[in-house]
Amino acid sequence: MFNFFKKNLKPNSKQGSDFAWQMKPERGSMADVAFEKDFALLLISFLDGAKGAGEVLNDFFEERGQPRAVPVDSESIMKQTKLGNRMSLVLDVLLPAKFASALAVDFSSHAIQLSSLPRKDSKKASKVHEALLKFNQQENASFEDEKVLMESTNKFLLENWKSDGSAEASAVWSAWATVMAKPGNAATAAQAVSKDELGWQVEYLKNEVLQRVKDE
Amino acid sequence: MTEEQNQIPSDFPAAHSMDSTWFAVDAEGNVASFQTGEAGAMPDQAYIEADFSEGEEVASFLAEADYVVNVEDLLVQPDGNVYVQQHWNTREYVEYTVTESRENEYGCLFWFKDDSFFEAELEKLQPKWLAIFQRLPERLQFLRIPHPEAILGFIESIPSTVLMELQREGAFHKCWVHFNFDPTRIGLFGYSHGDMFENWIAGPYIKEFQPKIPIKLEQLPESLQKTIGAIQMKNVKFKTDRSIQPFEHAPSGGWQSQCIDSNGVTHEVENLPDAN
Repeated sequence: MFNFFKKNLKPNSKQGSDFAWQMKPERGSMADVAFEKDFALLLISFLDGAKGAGEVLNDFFEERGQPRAVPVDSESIMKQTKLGNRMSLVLDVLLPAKFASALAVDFSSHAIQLSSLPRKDSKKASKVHEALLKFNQQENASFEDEKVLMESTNKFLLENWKSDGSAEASAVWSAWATVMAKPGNAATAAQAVSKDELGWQVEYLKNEVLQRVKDE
Repeated sequence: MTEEQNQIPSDFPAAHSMDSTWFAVDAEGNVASFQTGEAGAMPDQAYIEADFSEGEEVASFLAEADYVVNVEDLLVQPDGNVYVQQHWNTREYVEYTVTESRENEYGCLFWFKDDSFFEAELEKLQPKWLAIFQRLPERLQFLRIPHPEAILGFIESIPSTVLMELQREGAFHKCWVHFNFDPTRIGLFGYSHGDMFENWIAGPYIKEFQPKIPIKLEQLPESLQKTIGAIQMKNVKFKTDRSIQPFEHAPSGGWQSQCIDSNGVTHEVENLPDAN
């Protein structure tokens, strides 16, 4: 969707020379995603940890007849002191599901690229990445159609995963979580690839949201 | 705690040796069944006394539930043939030839032409049906599956010769042997413990079935509302969640000593805090 590697990421010198990323064109529906300026700014404030931003976001939702989506009980507030948890909440609850899903594809792709997978086995890395993109390109599929693709993608991704806590495993799990429509988990798994990854994801997300602010 | 829950042991021997089915409710009041496989974890308070893949359970469930069984895909082209499902988790059926070499056929769903076989008073049966009825083993009977238009009956087992005779006499529009009431037929979402985690770790469950019209908790028979409703996953929506790790939603246990969370991190089960 977001062709991140051209804009935001310099080519990785560790990457195998035959490792060809095949980013697919943006899906039609994603071109329609647009955000109110207030929402975009509030979301960014929330991500930045501004005090009370959650409550203001809730007011914003309520004014538009939507549920107050940011949990503000004391336990949730405590959880939200961590940037990673705020990121997960933004992806799983506050952003439109398709937009969050497309972000998750990019986060997983980024994690795969940063991991040792492309160097160890560039073909496998390409295939994981292709599986990810293929899955995300489904548009208005029935559950039955989606299931067929989900099963094959799921099997393929998990066959390439090991429970060794390595960066490579985290990247593959991130791809799996994307396929499972769990963008928050996809982002969290990808963060295990590098200590800088969460910061990169936050900046990336902010940039993509701001690019989609409606003209008013 | 309900009387039923009191009767459920805190440890689940069934989960240690064989597949179990348990149930949970999501934030929208939808209901899902979960197949543990050998290694899937199960919430400590989960209801495990029902298995709605069995026709008998389904018949009794539907008699009380405010829900119409979803078999619309089956009620087409009444050709008098017998069918069998190609694979347990798909809805493709192929013609099946009943032969005497098989003594019995199991789990048969009938789309009958009339309701003769549910007649309580045998003397009211047509003689030819009575003869067939009397050849059924005593403990077996056709269970009525409630439906507003079709006459549906289920029988746990039927002698092959009797089934052949029913077919020859044109007693039914269609029949399906080894019929599996997948959860969606009664409005349940269905999850199974992921194959890739089986027999080594308690991983997430993967969604296998999604009903067109989900049944809500309040539509369940009253006797089941409290027991199935004991596990409320308030951060889950079955409509959109393709995988679920029960440890993240309720205190859970299982046969495996380790589990994998939704972020792909492995944990020792005994070190997990209680979920909330």
